[in-house]
Amino acid sequence: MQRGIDRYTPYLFVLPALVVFVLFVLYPALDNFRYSFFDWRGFGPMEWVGWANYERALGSDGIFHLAFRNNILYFLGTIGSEVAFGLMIAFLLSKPLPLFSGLRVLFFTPMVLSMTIIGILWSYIYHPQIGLINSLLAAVGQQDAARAWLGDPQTIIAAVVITSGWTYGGFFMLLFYAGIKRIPAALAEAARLDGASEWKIFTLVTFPLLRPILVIALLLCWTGSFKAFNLFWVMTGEGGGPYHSGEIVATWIMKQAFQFSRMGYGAALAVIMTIVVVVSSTAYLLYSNRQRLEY
Amino acid sequence: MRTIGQMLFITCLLILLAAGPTLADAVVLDFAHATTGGAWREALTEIIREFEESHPDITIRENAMKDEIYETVGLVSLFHAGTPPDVYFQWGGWLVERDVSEGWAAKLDEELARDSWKDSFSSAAWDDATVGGEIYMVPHGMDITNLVWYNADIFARYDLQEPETWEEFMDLCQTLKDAGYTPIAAGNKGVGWPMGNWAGHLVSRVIGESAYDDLLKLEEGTSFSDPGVVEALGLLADMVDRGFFNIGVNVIDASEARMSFFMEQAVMHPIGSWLVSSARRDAPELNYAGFDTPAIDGQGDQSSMIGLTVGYMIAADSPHFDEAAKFLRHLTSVEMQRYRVEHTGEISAVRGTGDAAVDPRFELLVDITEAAGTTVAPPDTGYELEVAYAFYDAAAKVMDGIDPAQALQEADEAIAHLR
Repeated sequence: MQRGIDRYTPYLFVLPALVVFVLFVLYPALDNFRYSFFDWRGFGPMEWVGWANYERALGSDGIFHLAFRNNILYFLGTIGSEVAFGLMIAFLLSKPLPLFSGLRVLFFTPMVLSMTIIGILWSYIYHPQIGLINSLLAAVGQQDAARAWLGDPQTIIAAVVITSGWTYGGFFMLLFYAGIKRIPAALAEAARLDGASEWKIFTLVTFPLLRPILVIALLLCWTGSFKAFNLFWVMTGEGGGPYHSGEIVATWIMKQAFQFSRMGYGAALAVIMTIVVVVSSTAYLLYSNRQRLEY
Repeated sequence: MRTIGQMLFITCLLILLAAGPTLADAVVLDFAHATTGGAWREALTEIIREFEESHPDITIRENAMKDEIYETVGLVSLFHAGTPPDVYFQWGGWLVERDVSEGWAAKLDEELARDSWKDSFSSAAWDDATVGGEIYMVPHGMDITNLVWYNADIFARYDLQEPETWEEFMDLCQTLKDAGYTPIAAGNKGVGWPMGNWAGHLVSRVIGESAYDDLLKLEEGTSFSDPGVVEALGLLADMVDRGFFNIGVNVIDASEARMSFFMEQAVMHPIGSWLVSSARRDAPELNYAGFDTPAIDGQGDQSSMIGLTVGYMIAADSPHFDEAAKFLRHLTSVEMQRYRVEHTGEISAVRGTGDAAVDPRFELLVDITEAAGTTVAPPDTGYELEVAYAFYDAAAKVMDGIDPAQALQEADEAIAHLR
């Protein structure tokens, strides 16, 4: 009898979390899937349209395709501005030198700020007339390089990527810093005794051993790029920038569902985004797990 | 000491008991609107304060949002979330029709008939407030959606006159540019309604009001790529090519552009009649005036204005209809509206308020309204939002130097699924 209770005890502990998950994640997700087959304004009668919303999304909705491409660009950009930048700073600040602990706190500070405040702050930095960047360019005689960074389709995604890096770079720094501290000092010491330079120690010792963290960092970056919303919403003027050049999938879903009251179509877009993120993330994790490196 | 403490406790208890029934009986009226700044914001605060004083059983709980947020996701979200406001602001026309078709708006005919409340409004105000012959909005004011405001001191310095024709307007811009000024301050960030509305007016002037209406209703045989529409947006493209606007039009929002006009960083500024209210608070010393879009060689009425009636609606499901109606009666009373006109210089939909204005620009607004042979509805309030925003995108592209024909073809593609 006692053994029977023991067998079910773990499930009892999981039950509350499972109930919350089913009620607030699984059920809404399945309900959203149901909505995606209707023409529905979020209010009033629902009309069954079958796969029509999906056909439009995958076929003729050029703005959705552009938004998807922007999400990918944003992801690729944040690999550099968040992950690579965080890794570099973590490596540099892992040395036991004075002031470095203070610098680590400094790099992490943007993470505690509200994204709305960050968005507004950087909107002013990029401002075409009174912005810091254009003022600096003018101060060094490069007025011709000045532009409306958030108003130019060529620069709008890059501008948000930089802001995102400024915000999340500190988080990834912390992640990698913890990983670096976990690596036995003897490994680097041995390499140093063998005459390896600091660069070689980083590329041949530290970096390979950080691989499990890198896997997680890239996954966070990928899923984060599709969860992005508020920074784009604030910096690109209620999302989208000039004529959708800064549109991302999340802002386009928001507009379809709430601005244009096309809840069914918005639901279909959300389903597509969810499938893309879940399938790609799962495949990525399975592939990464096969190449695990232990030390 | 202990006795004093006990007495204080009992006194507080008695006060609470006395106040209890009053607090419990008080009705909280949720009021959603888009008035966040300018002289009207100040006047509205005062009007609400007076209402609450005269109706101690009713408390107004405001939910004020930026107009762009309010128009796009703000108000709609309140309804979708099942927390509709009791009273809410709305732009007349398509948005009122939408609210009615969604079942969000309460019919007001019966209430307006009581005590001849309806007779206190200008008869011209009802078109935008009526759907299927029934009234759903209490008219509040008349917005002219686009005028060209100008700095009168700079005009005087160069002996410049208000242009009558588009050619004169272009010459004027060139003169100002040659003199080292930025001729026009424009801010079109976000969905792009400021330049989109002006572009809409230009289209109506070129192809005619009826054709404009058909175009935005996506009537059979219409297309954004029609030569007349391309020609209208070509007028803006020409101005962009000649460098008549500030840089970064699509990255500066409407309020920033307005402030740059107030700070004399540009000589002219195309925006609606609400600039008067903003200027009264933010630039009271500025000597400025305005004119309607000059005449264009086109098929439309060249005296037309672009504008609409704005007003307030009561939610169909509001449990406080009577209290909401009381508040709207107070808000649109002659006394409150005279106070508003005096304070803001804006046009009221309530009769007997015009002579309360002290701002000289009020006369100008009245003159334009009276001289207008036709009133053209702005795309975003007169027509379905998705269509309006596709058109606004085209105007924004033109402001970035993209060829009008290409921009309009892309607008056609964006709304192809709606045809």
